[in-house]
Amino acid sequence: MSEQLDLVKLIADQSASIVEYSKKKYPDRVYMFEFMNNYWKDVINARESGKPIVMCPPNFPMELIYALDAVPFVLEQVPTRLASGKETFKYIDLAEQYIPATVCAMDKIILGAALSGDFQFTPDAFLYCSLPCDNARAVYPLVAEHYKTPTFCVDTPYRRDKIGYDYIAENFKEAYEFLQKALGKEHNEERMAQVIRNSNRSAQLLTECSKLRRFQPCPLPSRMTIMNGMVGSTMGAAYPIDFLEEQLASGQKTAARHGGVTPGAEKYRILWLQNMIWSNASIMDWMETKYNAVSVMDDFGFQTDYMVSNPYDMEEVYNVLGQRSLGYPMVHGACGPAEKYVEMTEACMESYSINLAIYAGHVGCKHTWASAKIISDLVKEKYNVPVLTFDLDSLDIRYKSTDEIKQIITEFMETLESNEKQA
Amino acid sequence: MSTSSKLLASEELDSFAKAYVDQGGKVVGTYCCHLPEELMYAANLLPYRLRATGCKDDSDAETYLSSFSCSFVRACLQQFMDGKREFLDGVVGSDGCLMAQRLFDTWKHLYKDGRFYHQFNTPRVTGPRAENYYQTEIRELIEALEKHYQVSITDEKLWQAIEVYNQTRSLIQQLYGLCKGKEPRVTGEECLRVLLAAMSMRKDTFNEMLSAFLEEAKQRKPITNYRARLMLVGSALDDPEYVKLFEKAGGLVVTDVHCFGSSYQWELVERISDDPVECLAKTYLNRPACPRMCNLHAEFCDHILARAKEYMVDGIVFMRMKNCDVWGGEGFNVQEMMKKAGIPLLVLDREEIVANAGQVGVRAEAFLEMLETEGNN
Repeated sequence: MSEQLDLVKLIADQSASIVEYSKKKYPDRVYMFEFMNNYWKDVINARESGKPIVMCPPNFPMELIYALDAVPFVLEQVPTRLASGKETFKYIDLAEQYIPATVCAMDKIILGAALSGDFQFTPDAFLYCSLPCDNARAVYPLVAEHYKTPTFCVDTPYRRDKIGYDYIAENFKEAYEFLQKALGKEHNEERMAQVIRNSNRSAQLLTECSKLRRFQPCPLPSRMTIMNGMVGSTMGAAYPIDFLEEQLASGQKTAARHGGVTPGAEKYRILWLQNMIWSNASIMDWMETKYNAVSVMDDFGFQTDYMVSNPYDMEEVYNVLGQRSLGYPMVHGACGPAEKYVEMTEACMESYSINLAIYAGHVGCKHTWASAKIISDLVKEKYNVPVLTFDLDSLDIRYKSTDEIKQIITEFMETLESNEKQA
Repeated sequence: MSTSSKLLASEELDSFAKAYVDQGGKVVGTYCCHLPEELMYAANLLPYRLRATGCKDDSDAETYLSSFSCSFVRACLQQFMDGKREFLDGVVGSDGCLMAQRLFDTWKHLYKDGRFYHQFNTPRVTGPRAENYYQTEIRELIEALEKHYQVSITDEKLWQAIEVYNQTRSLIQQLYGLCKGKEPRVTGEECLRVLLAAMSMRKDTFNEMLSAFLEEAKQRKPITNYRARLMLVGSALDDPEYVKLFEKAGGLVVTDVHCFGSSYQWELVERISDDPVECLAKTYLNRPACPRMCNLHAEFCDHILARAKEYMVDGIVFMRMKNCDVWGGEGFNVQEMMKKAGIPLLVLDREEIVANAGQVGVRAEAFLEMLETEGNN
């Protein structure tokens, strides 16, 4: 029997070490790792101080949790944080004793970690959403049942119209009422207003950073597309604002001198059509260096922004949070009717001057794989842009190693360059 | 051909849809048991439940849906690509699960031919808010059908459709009733074949045929030469040959919980108000038909257990279609519950195109042997 691990502390300690290491080795990246570190510090502090912790998925609005002076523990942050290492193996193996191996590793790690007891705390409340996918829909209720803590399910609709927005807003209103009861907290108008101001600012900055990536050359590094994915899990807190302001300032500075992030002239502007390679973010750095190829945008990260104009108007708050949630990565394009995925891809292709696309299909993401051909054909036929398609497990490096992935990319890039020379 | 033979000839069932088209009728494909077929029936259409019975190769569909998709959905798409669904005038897509959604998406992508396409969304929770949302979806589908087919779907027509469908449900319950008790008259394979027929023809026709079948079946001698009473639970199962594997080994499938079996149509739509849409929404949303419903997991497992007890089941075969996440997750709950209840459970992974019939037969044989040994002890 393996020794009980304090997983949250392990990740928090690792995050703190990365900050210290980067201060010496990559001082320009410290702000990125500080952001990550702040998230884990928050959870650790809450656990130690007895502040309420709410387990939830990233597409639930964190604002409703922060507004009650509680801390969100976004379960997806655990697998994505552990993705590059071997720590995931035992959780995946444990989960596979109960659910099929074909379930997404994201959810297997979450279930395995919960069943193992390695989180070492029981949340004060548990929230989940019926989308973005069947994996999450199947596994979250199992985790909730394991903790036997007050639970609420938000029904995320497919519709992206007034009926859909109203429906999800009503869901969030009820979820907020549930949280107040479960946590024994009361709504505080001023606190909510501040949280909403914070999240408005984060949303605005995130949009500006995304717009900056349209510049040629792209003034922000490829790996920021992955880092920015974490912002959604912190909306409403103050610290992501520091991170995004610094990111924006850094990008603006580079853009002002018409600089980019590749050592030579920027040659390829890449759109990732499915999940990001969470387990192998360093591959993006490698592609910048080796091929002057920048990952400019990804289909799952691109978001349309909505702002709350009056943070004291709760009806507006629920409505905007609903619209944001339906525009959240995975929910926005990938989980509903394929037309939305197509629209998302078209928007990215047209706004970011893409000349290369990669469909690195995470094997657990079966419903997006089931539209891979529609999306790839669109990119190839409508935009005449080459697409590299391959499978990987973004969270389990046993499926395909970094070297194997690099080999696949190398062969594709070499073919591409050879074709260019011949043309 | 006798009524029974027609009803049980699953391979020939499309002839009913084709005949309906020849007579000037329209056939609309559906997917998911949370879609009220009564709406289409009231529009004088034939709602045809999409399936893949008999599919032997899904390689063309795999090009679109990838090898990581649900093989049932892949095989359903293959039927389209092979031209076997040409009699359909349209499809009402559903977000029952995301794989089903992709079947609809891909079909729409491939066949831009002016047929009737409608996206129907069913909430994944129950409760008053979800019921209101679901009612909106139903009303929108009614509007879309009226506009496309130039028909009027009045309340009166809806009530008539509900009555016909309630009769179907009662007859299906009677059919399963013939498996209940110590003297079963029909096999699990026959039940599935009858249900496939229900999904392929207008329900008025089906009701007549099933009534005749029931009269005939009641006169049969009881089935006594079986080793154990089995229940099939899990992902979509539209292949009678698969059921046959268990019955050939000596089991008798006396009941089931899957969307091509009793979950297709069972609970009667009650007249709780004068609004047929409200009544349909209430019944369809709350029925324990599929683990897709997020807040019904406990009720769903209770339903499986109650059914197992009611039909005096000796063992349950839990079938997980590869890449079916919804049932994959539910397996956790079902296994826990059956362990507590002391009901033996065999978990089998399966694909729509059965390439391992021999292996399934061996597993079935071993399970039956285990049940017999336990029974003797």
